[in-house]
Formats: sequence, structure tokens, C-alpha cells
Amino acid sequence: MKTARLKLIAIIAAFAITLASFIHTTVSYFVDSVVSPNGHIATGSTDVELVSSSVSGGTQMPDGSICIMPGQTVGKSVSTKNTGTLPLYVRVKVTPEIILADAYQAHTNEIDLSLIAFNFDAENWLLQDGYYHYAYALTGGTATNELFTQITFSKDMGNIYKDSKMRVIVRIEVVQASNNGENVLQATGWATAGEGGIA
Amino acid sequence: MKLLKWSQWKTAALAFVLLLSIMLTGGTLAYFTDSREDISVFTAGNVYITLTEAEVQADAVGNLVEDPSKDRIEGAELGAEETIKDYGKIYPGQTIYKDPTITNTGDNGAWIAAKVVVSDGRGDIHKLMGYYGVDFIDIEVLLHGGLLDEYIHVGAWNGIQNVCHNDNYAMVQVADRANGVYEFYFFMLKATQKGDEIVLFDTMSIVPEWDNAQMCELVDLKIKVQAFAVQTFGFESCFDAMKGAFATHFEKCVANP
Repeated sequence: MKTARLKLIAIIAAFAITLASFIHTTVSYFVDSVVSPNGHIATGSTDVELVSSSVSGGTQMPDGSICIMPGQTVGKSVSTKNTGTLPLYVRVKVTPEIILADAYQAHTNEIDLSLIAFNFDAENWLLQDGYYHYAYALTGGTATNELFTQITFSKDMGNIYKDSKMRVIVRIEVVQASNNGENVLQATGWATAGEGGIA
Repeated sequence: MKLLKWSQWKTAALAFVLLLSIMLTGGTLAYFTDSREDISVFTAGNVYITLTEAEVQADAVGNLVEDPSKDRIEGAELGAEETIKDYGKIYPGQTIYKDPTITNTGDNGAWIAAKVVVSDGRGDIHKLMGYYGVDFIDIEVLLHGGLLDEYIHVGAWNGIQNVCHNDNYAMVQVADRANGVYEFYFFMLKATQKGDEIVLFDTMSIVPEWDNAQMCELVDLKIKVQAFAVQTFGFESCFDAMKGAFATHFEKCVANP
């Protein structure tokens, strides 16, 4: 009797798996043509272009870097263009880095990254969790406002920063806007480093 | 075949619903995403100078002349232990080669200034080289060559009176006769580039006519030279640069009426 019971459960489980697969296929088909608040899978393409200007106002070094002095402001702008078809949410992370020259390595724990400043557009870009979120969904073929147009190296950069190397890393992440929260700050599913495609 | 009990049906139904939930849930949270990265690289410039003087050796008559066989003496960084050169006993008519030279050894343009502090030891050098009726001394009684040999005129400069200046440099004196300290501030009016050199003076000479009493005024005389450099970027002039970056060292000069 026990064996018969187990056989019956196995049969029902197999039937359930088969039925679930069938139902999932059926739901996907319906999702293409039916809008529902949950479970909508959008079709279309995501492609994005990071539009960044070259640095202006500094002196180019032989290694390709730009030579700057404390108190100097250089021109550099960053924006994003939606070259795909899906409306997108955009967020950007800006990360400055400073590596001191060998002669000043002992002062590494004194590095102050706030000495590198940007004129962020606070009207169109919303700061949350370290990311600047473009306030509007970006439709295909359109571009965001520039996140910043200048980088300023503070006059308070002391002698420990002589000959230092500085990097400004700008990373943009986009995610479909459709059915993804009421606004960009509520969106989820952002690509993590090195990713694109389907998250 | 026996019919399943109600409890067994419940178990099977639960398993079915669970499986269905897993299948549906796994298929609905997919988003299209993309990401891009841009990196800009900067290199901070630098400002470096050296302050050096030649080593000297005695010639046949006892003057101290340049000794080219030895390396130049390099001054220490501001705040570090000072480099002291003792010239020993000096006498009337003697010349001593002394050429404080500032060199821009950095990669970037720099404003350069210097402060030469002449201080009494046990004597009063104002008696030897002081201007009548004022506390200032005429440093060119003692020091010659380099910048000091350039033609200059005396007048107001940046709101400071009695400044010796030309197109190349300006020299401001701050005299504290009571304490026997005379400070000479040299401002180079043109920005220097990598490799540029400035020789403040190159000879110290003792007036031959000074007698014993006058020579006593020179006992323990000290001449201290300091050099300063500030990046050119952000500063319109050497004066502004020194006031901005070395305010403490130049405060007496700025306040000099």
C-alpha cells in the first residue's frame, strides 16, 4: 500500500511539472500581447552610448594623461544616449581615485578624494546610494543632459599630491524603464559591473 | 485501486502549487540592461627648486674662491636642519665667493622668491653700512654680483615704499635695527621654467679701509638665504603667489610701509 501511495505521488508530481511548463509557456505567449502589472517581459533592444568629451584645458603628457595643477579646472562632460529602442532608466557612478607618487606613499592615508570636484547637474540627476539617476526615462534616440561639464582640482591639494596619478572613472548603467517602478529611484535590476543583456 | 485519502490529495496539490510558483516566478523578473565605462587619467604637476652655493678654497692671498672640483653645497628643505657654512676669520679687503643660486628643477612653471637675512652677531652692522637717518642698510656694501649688479630704481611697488626694482626683480628690505636683523626679500617678476637659474649675488667683500673697531662690528655676522617657489597656475604675480602660499614667511614684507 505504501508503494502504491508513493507511485501515485510520483505520477502527480510528474504531471504537475509537465503542467507547470505548459502553463509557463502559455503565460509567456499571453504576456506578449497582454499587459499585466506583474510578469511583463518587454521585447525590444537596449543599446546605450556613453557620450564623453575629451578633457580640455590641461596639458597632455607623453603617457596620454592630462597634467593639472592645484586650483585648475578642466572641461570634461559626460552624458548618455539611448541608441536602442526600449525606454531606459539611466544611472551613473563617478569614482575619483588618487595614487600618490612614490616619494609621498607614506601619506597615502591622508588622501582626500573630495579635492577632486565636479559641477553635477542636480536638477536633472538625482543622487541616491552613490549613483546619479537621470530623473526621466530615456526614450530611444534621445540623450540625457550632461551629468557634469567640469572637473576642478582643489587649490588645497598640498605637496603630497605632487606627481600623483588621478583617475576619474565614470560608469553608466541602464535598465529598461517599462514596468520597472514608478520612477528611476524605484527601478530595480540594474546591470552590475561588466554586465549587459538580461539581468 | 484504493482512492487516496484527503490528506494525500492535499500534499500532492501543495507540491503542484509550489512547483507552479517556482516556474512562474523564475520567468518574470528579467530586465534588459547595459553598462558602459569611461576613464580619464590625470597627472598632477610639481614644483621643485634647489638652492646651492659653490664650495670655496683659499687662493694664494687668502681670498676664498670657487672650488670647481667639489660639488655645490645644497640647502636643506625649509624646516629641516639648516646647512651652515662657516667662513672662519675674515679680514679687510678679503673677498669670499658666495653665490646662492636658485634653480627650477621641476617640470612646471614656478614663481620664485628669496629671503636673505643679515643679522648682527656681537656688533652693529648699521654702523658700517646703514643709511643716515633710517634703519635700512646698504647690502651692496657687503654683497655683489648676480641680481645685485643689475641696475635698479627705488620707489613704490605693490603699495610698499622704498623698493629697489627693475623689470626682472624687486627687492624689499625690512629692517629691525634694535635686534640687528635686516631682511631682504627678492621677488622674481618673471615666471621661471624648468632649468632656469637665479643667482642672487656671487661675492662677499670686506671693505679694505675698515679698521679693527669696524671689523668688530662683523663678529658673528650671519647671512641666511631661503628660497621659495610656487606654481604659476592660479597666481598673477610672484608677489601674490608668495603672499598666498607662504603668508607667514612674507608677512613682515607685506606689512612694510
